[in-house]
Amino acid sequence: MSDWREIGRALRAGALALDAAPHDTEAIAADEALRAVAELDPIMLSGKDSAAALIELARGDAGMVLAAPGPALAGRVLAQLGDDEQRERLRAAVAGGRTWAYLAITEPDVGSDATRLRTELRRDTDGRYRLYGTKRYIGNGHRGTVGVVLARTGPSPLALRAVLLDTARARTRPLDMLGLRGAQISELEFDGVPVEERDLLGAHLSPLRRGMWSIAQVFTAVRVQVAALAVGTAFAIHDLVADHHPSSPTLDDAHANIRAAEALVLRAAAEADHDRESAAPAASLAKLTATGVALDVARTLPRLLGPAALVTHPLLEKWCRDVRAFEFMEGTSQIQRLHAAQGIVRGSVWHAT
Amino acid sequence: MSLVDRARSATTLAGGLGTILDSGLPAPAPAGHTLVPAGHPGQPLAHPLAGWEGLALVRAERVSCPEAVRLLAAVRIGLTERMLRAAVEHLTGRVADGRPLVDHPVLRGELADLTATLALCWQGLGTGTSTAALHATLDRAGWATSVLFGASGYLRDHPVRCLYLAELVHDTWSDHVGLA
Ligand SMILES: Cc1cc2nc3c(=O)[nH]c(=O)nc-3n(C[C@H](O)[C@H](O)[C@H](O)COP(=O)(O)OP(=O)(O)OC[C@H]3O[C@@H](n4cnc5c(N)ncnc54)[C@H](O)[C@@H]3O)c2cc1C
Repeated sequence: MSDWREIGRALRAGALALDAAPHDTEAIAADEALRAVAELDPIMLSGKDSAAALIELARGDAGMVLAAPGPALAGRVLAQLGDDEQRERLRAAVAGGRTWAYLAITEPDVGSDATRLRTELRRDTDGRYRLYGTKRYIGNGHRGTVGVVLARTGPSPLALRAVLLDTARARTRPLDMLGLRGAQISELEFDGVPVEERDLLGAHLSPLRRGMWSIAQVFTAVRVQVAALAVGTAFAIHDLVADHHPSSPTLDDAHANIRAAEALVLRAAAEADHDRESAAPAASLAKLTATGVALDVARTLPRLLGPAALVTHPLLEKWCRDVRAFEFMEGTSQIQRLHAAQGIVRGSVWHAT
Repeated sequence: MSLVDRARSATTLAGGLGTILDSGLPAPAPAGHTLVPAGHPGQPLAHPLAGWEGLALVRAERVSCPEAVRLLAAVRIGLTERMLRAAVEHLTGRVADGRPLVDHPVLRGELADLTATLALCWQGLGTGTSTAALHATLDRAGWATSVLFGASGYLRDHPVRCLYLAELVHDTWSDHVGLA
């Protein structure tokens, strides 16, 4: 744990430079702290350990965490849906921080409702699969040379398959964001990119578990990780303000709230490790609360430092932009409310004990 | 049209700030630097985002001006209302679960709540609601409005970014007293 905290501290040094120039891949490749983050292997660590590590790393800077080369969210998908050979392919592709991996689900016209995805995996007349469509807002999509793409295989809303792309390339372009610029969200265009049988994820699973069901399990796991990034960023804001302001009830309350959100996130992560299917509402509640607490902290604490605090402390201003990104990643708060409510109605959500 | 009405009807953040400053009020700068429309007198300082909305950070004499901060709330109300109208259009064109997003009851409720919040802020400007309370409400309403655009509203070139820049202007204009 303290190791992750140390790495988090080291990450902070490059945070503002990355925010100013997120496209400078050479600077990213040269950053030693970023290389250390690349060792966070989601296939090897439990969800709870990953969440705990991400909180400490994001306490340094979440933008840097997301700029780190490595398996990232694609690793979570492979852990759920990949066979041994596919996991090895991803591991080999990103080994030693060689490249970034992306997970491409969102499209220009389809975000929250993944069952309406349009990107198509078509079998052409030569019997080969090809990928057609456009993905947008994909973290590390432009820098990455390996990734997982979710595509439609038929007209039914649930006819979706994930494919691993490690050689075929899409046309890509980075998108300039307000905050969390280290994640470098991008647009990817697939115009008949060939896909081999061995690229299709989930072939070793029953047909019912290959597509949307498994993706939903991945969402549960990843939501908790995004919640962990939000908690870490809230701690970062708190720490910086506390360094410049004497103890006060506002600061103490904020700290207690962040710790409460942290406890919810770690608890949801442990539940997801134990039984991912039943942990979905808990994961949504964790993300909802963590995002809300982080936004609140970003809104209230800088004021303690007096006028123009966001000019005097550029990192604080950056984190106030960054926390907003967590609202969208892996489902907006409205979507988390819908999931959580479903669990409440079914009676499967734990209550405070 | 009164000054506060003109502030509310500004179509850009820089235009709204220009309306306030052209009235003869000083640009508030309680910390000795302030965000103003580009070209306003003052020694320019580096700021990574100011240029996005035609603003500049300038060094200025330390001065407070509660009336300018109050008028800034009117500018923010007008810009948020404008963005809310754009959000309705955006939500009308996107479909989820078989119907346009704008027809989802949760989002209709959100649109009504935001409209009510902005109407209350506007009335509060006339009835003496504290400027700090108005701006705190506008911070929340501005972000809730941005969220309606999904990730597209988080892109740097989306017009809704003006609401975030307005928060930054408030940060440099306001004294933020009595909050610890
Ligand atoms: C920093 C960042 C990183 C990202 N990384 C990735 C990535 O790596 N891979 C990837 O695939 N995607 C990524 N995304 C995209 C993200 O997953 C989407 O932004 C998110 O799913 C929402 O989709 P949308 O932006 O299209 O919004 P929309 O779905 O269009 O939503 C617009 C508004 O409607 C609301 N809404 C939508 N549906 C409902 C409903 N049923 N009921 C009530 N309200 C509703 C939303 O809350 C929102 O306010 C990223 C986004 C950001 C900002």
